[in-house]
Amino acid sequence: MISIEGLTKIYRSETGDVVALKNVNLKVSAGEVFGIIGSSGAGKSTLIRCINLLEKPTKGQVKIEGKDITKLSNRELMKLRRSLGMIFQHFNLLMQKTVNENIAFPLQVANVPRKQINERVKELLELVGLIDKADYYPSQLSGGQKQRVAIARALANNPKVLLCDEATSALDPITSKSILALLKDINKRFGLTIVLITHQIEVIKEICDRVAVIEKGQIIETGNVVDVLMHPKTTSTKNLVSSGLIDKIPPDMVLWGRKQDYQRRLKVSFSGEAAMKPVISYMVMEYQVYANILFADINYLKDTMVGELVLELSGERNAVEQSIRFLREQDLVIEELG
Amino acid sequence: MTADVLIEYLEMLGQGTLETIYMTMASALFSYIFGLPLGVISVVSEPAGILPNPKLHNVLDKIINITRSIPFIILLIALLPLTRLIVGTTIGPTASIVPLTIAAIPFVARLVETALKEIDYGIIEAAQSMGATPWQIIRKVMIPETLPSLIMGASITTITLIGYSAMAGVCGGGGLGDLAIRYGYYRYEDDVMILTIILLVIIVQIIQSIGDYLSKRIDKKNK
Ligand SMILES: Nc1ncnc2c1ncn2[C@@H]1O[C@H](COP(=O)(O)OP(=O)(O)OP(=O)(O)O)[C@@H](O)[C@H]1O
Ligand SMILES: [Mg+2]
Repeated sequence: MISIEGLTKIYRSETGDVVALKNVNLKVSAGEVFGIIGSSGAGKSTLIRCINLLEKPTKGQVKIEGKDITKLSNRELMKLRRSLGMIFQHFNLLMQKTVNENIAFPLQVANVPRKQINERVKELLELVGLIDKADYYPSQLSGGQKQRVAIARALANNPKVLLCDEATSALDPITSKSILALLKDINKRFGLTIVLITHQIEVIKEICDRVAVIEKGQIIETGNVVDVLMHPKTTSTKNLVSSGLIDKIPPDMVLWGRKQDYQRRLKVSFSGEAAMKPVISYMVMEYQVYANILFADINYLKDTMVGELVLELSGERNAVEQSIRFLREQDLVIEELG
Repeated sequence: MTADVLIEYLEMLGQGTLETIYMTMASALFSYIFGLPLGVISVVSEPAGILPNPKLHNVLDKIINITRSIPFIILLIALLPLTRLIVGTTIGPTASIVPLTIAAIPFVARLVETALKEIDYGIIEAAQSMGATPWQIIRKVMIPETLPSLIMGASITTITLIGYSAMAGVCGGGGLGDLAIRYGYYRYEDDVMILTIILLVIIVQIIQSIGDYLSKRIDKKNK
């Protein structure tokens, strides 16, 4: 659907050049929710803005359905943009226009006949649950409601792709969740491809199918959300992903156990079906070891259940080692902690 | 003061008021016909504007600055030949419209620029992301979104033009300024002077109030 090849963006200014993106390659498939995560200044906004050419790439190609859009004429570009909706962190609604007029705007821009506009606006208001706010002005709406208007507006011309630039960053966690749920719903119902950028791992966990991690203008990791989050390859990704809890278990924490016992500390990660099996209790009974759970967390990554467990196993050396071997044979990922 | 003289004065002041309003309104209208597009072009042609054209922007900027820095009274005299060419005479309220308009055009252009720049650039980008053309953005986004400020600007322009129109009285331009100079200054008739001042203050107040009211009334952003 979207294919970015060798994309480089350099901002030139009197104080020197800023390389915002360096040789970025990405592929987004039709119908998926693709997340791009990175810390502040990593180049996320620049990257997503290159997809609809709000920012002109310095080098490289942006292909949409196989067509390199950096080569389009202005007129063609404007037409193309109608098939790419976009929403923003600060909503960017027309402040002097009502909710109705805001949603009608992209349709007027595309010269849709008035009667059709009215029908379409109604549909969209229903979709985002704002029928009763049709004649309100943005200044009379909450942040969440404003973003709903922005979503309706972005969907007006039935785009193939929705670009979201930090769409939930200005919202409180609960509102943020409801907006993500709406996006998820739209993605499912209309098969709309969604590309979103965020600095919040929760957003990735909540709705993304695939994720790319961007750092200093470069993509350092890409893959399925479950894979990248469960097995981050780089420290930067680890830092982004880690809930921070595991690191906070004090190493000298006094644990229950007998002096003579052999002890090993493990991190066990599991996803999907493995989450359902009573592996630990089986192991404890089978190998006669003590399993002390220092940390446990179960989460949903979109629709996949995943979990993490920090275990301290103690008992006879042999028994402990056998249990570890047993764990490794399961559908689990085992990592020894120092 | 006899009744006859009083009636004559009142007639004179009434006529002066009407002339002032006529000159001001006409020149405000004409100065917007030229100044509004000028201000819009100047904003959109900025390097970071929606139709960047730094060269054009610089030229416009210079012209606006230079014309704004010429004192009105000098412009008035310097433009006499042009006024004669256009109107056929250099005295009377209609003749005054020419220098008033020309003086107000750069003023209007600057006020329009300032108003248009108030818009949050994100809104323009949102419109661009929907495939709006520059012309659609100007007409459907920039102007409507900044209308409250544009209206405030129009009332400032009109009030400034009232001041200028009084100055035009020096060259026989008609209106209340003309009366103040002829009666108040040359003939030392203080009561005429005071009455013209009162009338001018009233006119200014009315325009200011209308501007404030309209601007607040239509503004849906700061409510
Ligand atoms: N218009 C610009 N001119 C010059 N430099 C810019 C411009 N826009 C962005 N940059 C620089 O490019 C780099 C990437 O910026 P970008 O806005 O893409 O980061 P980001 O990941 O979106 O950050 P944030 O999370 O803070 O929004 C930064 O170093 C920034 O200073
Ligand atoms: Mg950003």
